[in-house]
Amino acid sequence: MSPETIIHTDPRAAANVPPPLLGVDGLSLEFRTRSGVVRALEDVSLSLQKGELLGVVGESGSGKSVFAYAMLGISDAAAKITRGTAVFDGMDLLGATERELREIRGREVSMIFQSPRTSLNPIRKVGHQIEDVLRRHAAVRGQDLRERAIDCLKRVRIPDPARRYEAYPFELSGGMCQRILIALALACQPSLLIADEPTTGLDVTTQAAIMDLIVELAHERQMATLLITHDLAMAAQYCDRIAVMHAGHVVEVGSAQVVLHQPQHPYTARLIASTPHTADSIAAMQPIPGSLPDLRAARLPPCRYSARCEYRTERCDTEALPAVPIDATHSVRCWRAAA
Amino acid sequence: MNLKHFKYVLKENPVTGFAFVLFGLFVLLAIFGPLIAPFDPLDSNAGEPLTPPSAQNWFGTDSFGRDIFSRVIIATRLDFGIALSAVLISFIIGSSIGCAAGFWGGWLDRVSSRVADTIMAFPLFVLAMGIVAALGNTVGNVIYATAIINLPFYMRVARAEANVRRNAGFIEAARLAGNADVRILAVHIFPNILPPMMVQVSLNMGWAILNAAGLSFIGLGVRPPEAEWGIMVAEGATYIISGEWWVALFPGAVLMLAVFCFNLMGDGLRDLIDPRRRT
Repeated sequence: MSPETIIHTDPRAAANVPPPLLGVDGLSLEFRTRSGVVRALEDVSLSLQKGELLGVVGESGSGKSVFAYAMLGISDAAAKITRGTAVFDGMDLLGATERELREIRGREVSMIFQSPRTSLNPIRKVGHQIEDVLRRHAAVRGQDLRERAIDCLKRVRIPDPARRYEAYPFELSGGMCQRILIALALACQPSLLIADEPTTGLDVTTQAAIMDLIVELAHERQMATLLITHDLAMAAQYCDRIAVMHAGHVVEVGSAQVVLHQPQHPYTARLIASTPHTADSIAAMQPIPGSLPDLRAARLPPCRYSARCEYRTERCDTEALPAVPIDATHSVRCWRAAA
Repeated sequence: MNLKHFKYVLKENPVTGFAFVLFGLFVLLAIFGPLIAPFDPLDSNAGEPLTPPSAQNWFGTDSFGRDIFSRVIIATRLDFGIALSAVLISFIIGSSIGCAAGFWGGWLDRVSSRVADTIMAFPLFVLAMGIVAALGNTVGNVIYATAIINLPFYMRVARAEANVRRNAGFIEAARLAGNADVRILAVHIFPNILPPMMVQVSLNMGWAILNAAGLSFIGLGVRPPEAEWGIMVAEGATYIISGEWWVALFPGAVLMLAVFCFNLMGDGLRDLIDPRRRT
């Protein structure tokens, strides 16, 4: 059954309110480590519609990747989901068995990793690696398999795909490996693509080419995409909506243009101000003071940004703060915006 | 793995070529030995005991007048058979246990690692002696004993190599493509640890031959009048003092050559199966 048919048989679809393809509500996740409990995600709520591009932005350690891994059920053994729900296309992701998850991984949901070189098996021909995915999820066999694999390579615009099919990862450049990974991720036409910093380690021109490719393929197939990046400018350029994460909280969600031009959360504003531009001098850069709070602390303030915030009030450290809606699509987790 | 690649590896490393040729010769001897040997290896000729090497008996004759050249050739099959079966058994069992232990960890890892430690705590040759003595003096038991004492080496190499790869990006990616653990082990982990394992296999073949010969030398496993390099060296050892050097020297030299050949082959084998070497 294709994902479309599932959506159409959903009673809510008939009521003209399409349910989100991915709906995450109040998700909290912690790592139980020897040195204490790390509350890596707290009350994360995000939704993603079919064909939509959502950028998840934040500095290292803000919980972006942890969130993506939790969606796919491949979190570290120490990770424990304490609250919340995640529903993908009518399926409860958090309650699903490993077997059920294996069925959707690679077929319905797939992922592009940040390091193209290490994400490919070093001693297996790239063509065979694509065939592995096809064999696992699509009913393709024999000679068709090879053709489909070459077809996948062609779609991500790899020159001379029939020859590249025979190549080993070490024979290809970083950008080429990233294209192979994209081909792998898209081989079974998933309805949700999670791209975890897909352009890290690539030069700027390749970066743009890869991003253009992802966006184009996403639009072409009405594929929802979760783009995880630390580059706010890039997210704003390619995404429909942006979610800004800080220390395990989603501090601001809104359409890309609104978040970029009218940020409501102090952290978002500082993040935009700290993005370097070509004309800037090093001295003109405005780094965000302080660093992420220690998520192992016994009592974290309700607003985890408060220690770094220039607008901090007493209220920030005492009262629990829900996400404050600014308008239908824009919401912020800050007392200042609520006022 | 194609012919072109094979040629390339040989050109890069001529010593490997030499080792492969030598190995091929030994294999031919093992298969066609009985056709090549000029005399019956067990046929004693009381009239010509301990004759030095001559045009008729290239390696001379032993105390029973048996042709040493024929016996050395015939013994190839037995010695290679023992070494190959022993190495095969320990490679298959050791690498699968090691792979699984390194990948999953947990109780399997703890139990198998302690078993390997226990085996390695013994002087290995003494352990092999003990096993053969306890199980009974047969060729089969020599094979099992040799396999058991080699097991820890495969388990350790496989465990370490699988362990460093279990969180590698491509393993995570394979998991995200919907693969079950067993398939990841078989398709992604195992082929990746094969190159270092191949070096181990080749070195181990040498040890296995030495081990089998060593056991026969002290009278365990293969028994006279069977032709076997270790026994022949043992029989010849008594004659060295009295000047009949050829009885021990020729089987010993062939034994050394076989071990040498396997040691040289290790790197070449790895280069052959590792695609990263094809540049």
